[in-house]
Amino acid sequence: MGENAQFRDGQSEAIENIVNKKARVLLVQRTGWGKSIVYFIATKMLRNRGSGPSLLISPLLSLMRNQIDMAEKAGVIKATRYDSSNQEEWDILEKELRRDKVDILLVSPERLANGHFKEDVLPSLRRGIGFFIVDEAHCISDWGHDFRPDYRRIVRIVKGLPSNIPILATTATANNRVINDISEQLGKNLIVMRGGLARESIRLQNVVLKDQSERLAWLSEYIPKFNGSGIIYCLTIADTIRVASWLKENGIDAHAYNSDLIAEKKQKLEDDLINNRIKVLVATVALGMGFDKPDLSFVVHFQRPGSVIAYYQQVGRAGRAMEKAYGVLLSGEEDNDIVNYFINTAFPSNGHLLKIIQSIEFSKDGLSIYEIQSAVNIPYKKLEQALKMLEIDGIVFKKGTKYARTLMQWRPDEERIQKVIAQRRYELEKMNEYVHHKGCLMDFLCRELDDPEARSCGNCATCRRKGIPTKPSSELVSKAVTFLKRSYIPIEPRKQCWISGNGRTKRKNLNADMQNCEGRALCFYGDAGWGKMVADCKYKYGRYSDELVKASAEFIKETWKPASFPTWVAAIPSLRKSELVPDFAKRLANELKIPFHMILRKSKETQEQKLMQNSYYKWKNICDVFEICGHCPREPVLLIDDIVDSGWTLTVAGILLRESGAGPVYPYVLANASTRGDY
Amino acid sequence: MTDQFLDPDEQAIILLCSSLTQRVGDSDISSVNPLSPREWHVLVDNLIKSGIESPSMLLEMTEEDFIKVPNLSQSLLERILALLKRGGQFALEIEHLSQLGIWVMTEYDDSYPNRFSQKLKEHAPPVLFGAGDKSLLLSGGLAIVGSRNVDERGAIFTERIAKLCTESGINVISGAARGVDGIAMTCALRNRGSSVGILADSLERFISNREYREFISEGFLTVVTHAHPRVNFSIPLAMSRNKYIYALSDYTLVASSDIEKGGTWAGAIESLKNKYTPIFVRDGIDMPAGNKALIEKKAIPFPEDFEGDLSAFLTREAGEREDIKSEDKSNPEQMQFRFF
Repeated sequence: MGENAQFRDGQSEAIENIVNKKARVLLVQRTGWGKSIVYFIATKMLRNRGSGPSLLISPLLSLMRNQIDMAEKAGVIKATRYDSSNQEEWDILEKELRRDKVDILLVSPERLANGHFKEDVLPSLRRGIGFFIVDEAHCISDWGHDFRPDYRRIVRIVKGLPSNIPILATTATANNRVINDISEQLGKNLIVMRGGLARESIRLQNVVLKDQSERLAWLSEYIPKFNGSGIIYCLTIADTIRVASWLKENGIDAHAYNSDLIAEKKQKLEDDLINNRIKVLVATVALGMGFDKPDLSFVVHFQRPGSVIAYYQQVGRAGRAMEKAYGVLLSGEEDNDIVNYFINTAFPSNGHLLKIIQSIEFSKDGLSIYEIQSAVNIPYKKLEQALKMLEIDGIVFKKGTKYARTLMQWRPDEERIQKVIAQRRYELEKMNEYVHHKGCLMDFLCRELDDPEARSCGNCATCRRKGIPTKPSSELVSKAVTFLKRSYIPIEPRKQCWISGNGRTKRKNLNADMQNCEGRALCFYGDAGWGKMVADCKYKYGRYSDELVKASAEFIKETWKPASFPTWVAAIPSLRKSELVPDFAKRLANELKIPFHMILRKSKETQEQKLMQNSYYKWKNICDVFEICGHCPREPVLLIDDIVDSGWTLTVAGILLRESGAGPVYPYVLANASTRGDY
Repeated sequence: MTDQFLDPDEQAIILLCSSLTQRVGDSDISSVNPLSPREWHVLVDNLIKSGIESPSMLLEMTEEDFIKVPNLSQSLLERILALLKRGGQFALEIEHLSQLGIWVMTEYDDSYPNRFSQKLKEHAPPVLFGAGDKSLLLSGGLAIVGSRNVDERGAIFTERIAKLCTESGINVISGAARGVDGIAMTCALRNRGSSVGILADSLERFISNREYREFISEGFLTVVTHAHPRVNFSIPLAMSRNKYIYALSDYTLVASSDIEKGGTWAGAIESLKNKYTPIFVRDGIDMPAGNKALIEKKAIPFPEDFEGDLSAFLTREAGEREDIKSEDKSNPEQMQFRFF
């Protein structure tokens, strides 16, 4: 933004609307168009006229960091973010705010609900907030591919702003339906400014391959052939880890990026990618909206996203300031299953909501999330999500760690939920259409986004009638098959357990000597590789195959190599299928040439653990069902089960073994069936 | 969700006349005193004189535009400009309150009690925060007030009269505080009567009480406060709130009062002086000193062992005492300040 910089069409018009007319503007422009320049300049001008700082609300930190850098490079304004990751800087920051030294304050949508922020920080702004900026405004819409409940709060706040505060909502991806929805929600005097969406620099291509091994092979063969650095998108955390380690094995500098990583690690990986220090980040949508690397030279999808809008947005990160970049969509059999899982579990059921509300209603002075968990049988993450929805709908409110009821009556809104679910299924169908589309690919994406300027791009693989080869070498494919069979999943030991007493149930920390060591699962249940075989053996044949025994032994000896190698084997007993696991454990012990002791007994029948939906119920179902019979060797032990879900069974059995004098407990299971629904 | 649709006029009044956008607790360099009811109503007169037709126009005005407004001191102008800039905090707070089920009402609202404007004139609170059925504020009733530390006889008396009110369909108004006020309110509600509480304590905390919450949702209880909904009890707050209890009621009954000290005494004296409402005082043998003194100051004695038709008694006794009625009930000119 030098002195001679020229504004693009629309930029100065937007600034004029904001600064002089204090208008409410929705800016729909493709990434790289320069939306942030609009709010930097507008902020500067408003500040010169005596306004307080601008408040920029944006859902993801990766975006915030880049925005701060940009603003400061531009040298026009001082921007600061305010979120949980820079808590140590809050004191200084709050002082600067009181002295009116900050021009743009960047916050996450959640921050707006934070008590300290609302009650102490904002009131200390002497000149108030001068300008509201809502980034990624498509999140406002129920119809948007990533509607966020927090945005409902933003809508109510923005609607309640007096007319002397200008508002700018921006998004790069919104079709007519989403734009109408945003306009409806933010009020009719919203000025919509919209531009074309086609991205000329990106060469799109679709590659349809049979299974994961073929796709892995394709990646290892063709990723090194791309110039520069890029992103591979996966749908789940587990897939990011697996793909990254496969690529690493093949000498490619790849790193997994997902919501499991701590903030510093994420930032380092982003910086490394931005500075081309690594070849590729294998990421979930956690590497998301607004991540800005102008010279990102490729975006490859290992799995197909759930909607055209999401795909456009992700592939759109490539080639922002380049002549040529690539956007390749691989897709496979499991993609629909994963997306359908996300769709089906997106909303908590009304029955669950009602139970949650009632448990809070009838408590004396509110309940903590753990107390609610012991009253309602639903998974922790779902409960968190349900409480968030109820909080935003004004049904419950949070005071400290407790949830209490508000004055609002609750009415289930089945219709709205069904409408949104139907819409998401439709979007998934459109995405499937895209995979097999025979015409111009960019044109398809733009049409789906109601771009009035959509036309053939002349650049995609269909338009050019050529592209990257779609068949990986058979040698790499068979290597990938072996890799998938070898890849394993760690089982994190639980560090807390539940205790009951005086009619209350609480979580408490487990002493270190009662905790299991980190364990291993051979595969994900039902996955390609070993996953399918485990499922077949369990339910079709009633016996785990010799192949699984051999693979397990080899894996434990060659790959895992526990720190103090187990000298004996124990197994989780079952009354339902009493032979299945002990039989496998016995054969595995034979193969490892160490003894097997049937030392754990099950003293009573339980329900299947997989029916228990949350930590408390899972623990309660099995907390007192095992007993030790016989002598427990004081040596490290390999604790065998076939399928792990929450890990409570292994935890409870581990505690019992440790109490009976056993050495370190190393859990080993064939498959991990815990929810894959995280990204 | 009580979705609040505050029009621009209401937004301007709330920005200027409430402490909603201020930090609760210690004030710091950033805090700006909101306009007192009197400052606001005087300003409105001056705005009308300079042709400014509605409060919402204030939102669009620059510092220069204010030059034409007469009698506007520089310091008041600075406060006005600073308060009008706080729309961001305002919007966040309104959202937060509506999530809790708390509404904000200005003197422009149809449900705003006329009694306030008539009796308190320029001191009528321009902004009220509350929860519950707004129309209950218009139904008048008997205010029952007294010390926070009430004697046992006073407490028994209060319960009996509150119960009598519910049986006679009389709304019970109180300060919803510890002591007489709280006893009267709770007793009326538990006997399925209606009650209005005018708080001098945190409204947010009040509605987190499960029993009160149920009475509010069922429409039996309405609570309001002129203070920030998170402000805790304080003596000055209670003092400034007293007149609203008197002004909102048809009659006020003092169950027990200290003499020459305490909120009940001060409130009753203030009301006697300004003739907000006819005041009854519990009377009998061995009464608190304040009770006797108030009766000497022309409050109407209310027999401790009263039984019978409460409405009829209140009307008759108050009617016989023409000297204590407020004079200007029917003077519409006095209402002018409320409207642009």
